[in-house]
Amino acid sequence: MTLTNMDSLPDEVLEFILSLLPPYKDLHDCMSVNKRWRRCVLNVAKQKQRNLYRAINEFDVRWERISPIEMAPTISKRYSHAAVVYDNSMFVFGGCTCAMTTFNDLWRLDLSKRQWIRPLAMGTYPSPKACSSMVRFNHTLVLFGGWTYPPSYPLYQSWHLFNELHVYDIISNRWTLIPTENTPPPVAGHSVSVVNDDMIIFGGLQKPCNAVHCEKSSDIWRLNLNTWTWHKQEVENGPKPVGRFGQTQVVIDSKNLLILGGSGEPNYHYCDAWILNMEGELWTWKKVEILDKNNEPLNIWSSPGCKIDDKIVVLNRIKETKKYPIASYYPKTTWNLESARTAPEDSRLSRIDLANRPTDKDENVNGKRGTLRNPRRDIDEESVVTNNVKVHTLPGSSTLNMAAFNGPAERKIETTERIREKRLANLLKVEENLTKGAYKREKKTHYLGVYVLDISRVLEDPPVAVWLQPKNLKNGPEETILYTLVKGKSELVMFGGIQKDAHLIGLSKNLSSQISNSLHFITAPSYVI
Amino acid sequence: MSTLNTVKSPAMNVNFFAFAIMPNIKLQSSDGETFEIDVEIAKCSVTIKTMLEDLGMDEEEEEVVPLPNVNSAILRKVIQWATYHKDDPPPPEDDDNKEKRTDDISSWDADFLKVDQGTLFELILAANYLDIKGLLDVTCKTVANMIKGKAPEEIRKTFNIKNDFTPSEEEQVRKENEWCEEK
Repeated sequence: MTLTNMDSLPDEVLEFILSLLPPYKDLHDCMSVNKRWRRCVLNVAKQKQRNLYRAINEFDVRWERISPIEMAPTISKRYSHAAVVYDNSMFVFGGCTCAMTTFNDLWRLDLSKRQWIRPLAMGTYPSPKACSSMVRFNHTLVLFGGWTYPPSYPLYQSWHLFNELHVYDIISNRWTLIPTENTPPPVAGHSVSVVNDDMIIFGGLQKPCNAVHCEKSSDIWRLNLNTWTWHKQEVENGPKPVGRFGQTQVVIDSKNLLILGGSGEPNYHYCDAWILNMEGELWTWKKVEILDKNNEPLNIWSSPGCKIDDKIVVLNRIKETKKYPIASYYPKTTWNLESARTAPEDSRLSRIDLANRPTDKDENVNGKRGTLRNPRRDIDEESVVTNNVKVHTLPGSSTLNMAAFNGPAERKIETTERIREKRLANLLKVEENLTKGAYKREKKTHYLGVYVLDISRVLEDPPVAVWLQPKNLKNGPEETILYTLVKGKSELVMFGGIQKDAHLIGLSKNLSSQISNSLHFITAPSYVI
Repeated sequence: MSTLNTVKSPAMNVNFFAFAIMPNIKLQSSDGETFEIDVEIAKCSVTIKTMLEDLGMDEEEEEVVPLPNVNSAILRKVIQWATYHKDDPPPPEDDDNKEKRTDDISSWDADFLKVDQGTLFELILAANYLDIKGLLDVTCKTVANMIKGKAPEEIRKTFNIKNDFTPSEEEQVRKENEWCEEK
C-alpha cells in the first residue's frame, strides 16, 4: 500500500490549501516546488484576482482591520502620507499628525506577516512633509513635493512647499537627494503616475517663484527617471481640467492617464474625469462623460481612488437610502485607544457639551430637520431621548429595566408619580451615558463604503465612465479622509487618515484621537473549493 | 463492530420508537468494518446527508452505507471529530465573509491533528470525499501552516515532493514576478 502524501491530493484540494497562504512571499515560494505546484499557485492567484474583481463589481467585499496594538512596534498615527506597494511590502512615507507636525520617517509593512518594520535608512533624508508623491520605479521609491509648516510657526508665515526630489533604494536602504534642473515649482497634493520611464505629475497646490500665495495648478510635468530631467509638458489648445489638488490619477495604458475629482477651493470639490492622451509633441485632454451620477460618492478629493482592472474603487461615506439599509456592521475603530484605557474625559467638559450641545441629531428626523433638545430643558422630549439611548445602551441598562417596571399588574396602577419617576430615572441614565462618553457614539456616525467607477469605456470616443449602482452596502470603518488606498496582491490596503469632521467635534476631544494608524484590508470573500 | 453511540435529541429518550427508527446509521469502511453512529452526526458529511435524502435510505434501517474510499482507521478518526463537533453551531449564512485564518485552530483540533503526515492527508481526502467542510478547513489549515515560512526546498523536504524543474527552469520560476498581477 502506498503512503498517502501531498501528491495524493487532487489539484482542487492542493489549491484550497495554497489559497490559505498569504498571497505574497509564501505563495510565491510554492511556485518553485514543482510543476504541479506552480500550476496550482497560478490558478489560485488568478482565482483570487478574479474574486477581488468580482467582489468589487458586486460590492460584496470583506473588510478586515488590523489594529496597531496587535502589531507593535508600530507606525504612529498620521494622515496625508504617501504609500506604495512593492513586492511583499507597502512603504509609507511622512504625512502629518494633529498639530500639523510633519514626518519624514519611512515604514515598511510586511504584507504577508502583517508587520510594521522601520528600515533605518542611510543617506540624505527628505524633509518632513505631507501630501508628497511617492512612486515606485524598478527597485526604488521616488519622492517628490509636499508641504510642511516651518518649525517656529509664526502666524504670518504660511506653510512651506517643496520641490525636492529624493530616491529611496529599497535594496541598499538609502535615501539620495537628486539635484535636478528646470525643476517644477514647489507643489503639494499633486497626482503622480509612472508611465514607461517617466514620472508624470499633474496639478497640486503650487507656489511659483516670488509668488506670495499658492495657486492650484493644472500643469503637467514629466520627469525622466533615468536621466532625472524635468520637462514641462504642453498640451493642445482646447478644454482642459481646471487647477486642482487631491485628485486621483491612474494609468489606463502606456498612452493614456485618467484623472478624477480633486479639490479647488475649500468646500469646492470636483467630480469630473479627464483622459490625458500622451501621444505626440502636444498632449491632449479629453473630458470624460460620467454617467449615473446619482451613484457617485460625495467627495473624491480627499479619498484616493484605486484602479482594479477596468474599475476605479473609491471609499466614501455610505449614503443611506431606504432601499439599501446598512446590513452588517464592521466593528468600530477604537479611535482613542489611549484615552479609553486611561481616565475618562473631564466630566465637566461633557457637561458643558451636554448643555450647549450643537445639532446632534440626524438631520432628517421624521421628514424634518430637527435638533435633539437638551433633555434637562425640555422634559417632553423624553420619548425621543429614550429611543435614542435605547440604541446605544447595553442590555440590562435603562430601557430594559424600564420594561421590567411595566408588568401587566403595575400598568394598571401606574400613576403620574410613577411616570415622573420613570422619566427622572431615564434622564439620569441619559446623563450618565452622556458623561460616560456615549455622547460621541450618539453623534451620527458615517461609515466608509465602496464606490465603483467603471472606466472600461474611457478610451472610446466620446469617453464614458459609469458609476455603478451600489448593491449591498457592507460598511467599513468610520468615515475617514486623507488616508491611502493601494492595491496589494488580491487585496486593497487602506492606511491611516483623519476622521472626517474632526474639527467640528470640538476642543474637548484630543484631536490625535481622530487620527488613525489602523490598517484596513479589503478582500473578496474567501473562495470555496 | 465498533459503536460510537451518542444520544443527542431529548426526543430520543422519551420516544422509544423514534429511537428505534431514526437515530443510528451504519457506515462501512473500505476494509469492511461497520460503524454504527447517530444519524445526526453522520449528516455533518454532506455526501452522506445527500445520499440519505436522495435515496431515502434512512427508512430502511438495516441499510449499511458503504464508504469505499475511507478505511476504518480514518473513518474512526472522522467519527471522533464529528462527534466532538456535533453541537457546533452551523456555519453562519455569510461564512464566506469570515476570513480564512490559519491561526484559529482550536486546541482540541490541534491535538486531534497531531498525527503523522499520511494520516493527515488521508483525513483531508476523507473530508473532501465525505464533504465535511469543518474538517477539511481545519486539516488544510494545518497543512498550510506547515508550508508557511518555508523555502521551496524545505517544502519539498517536508512533504517528500519531487522537484521536476531543471535548475534553469527553477531559476526562471523564482524570478516570475508577474504571477499575481492583473491580466
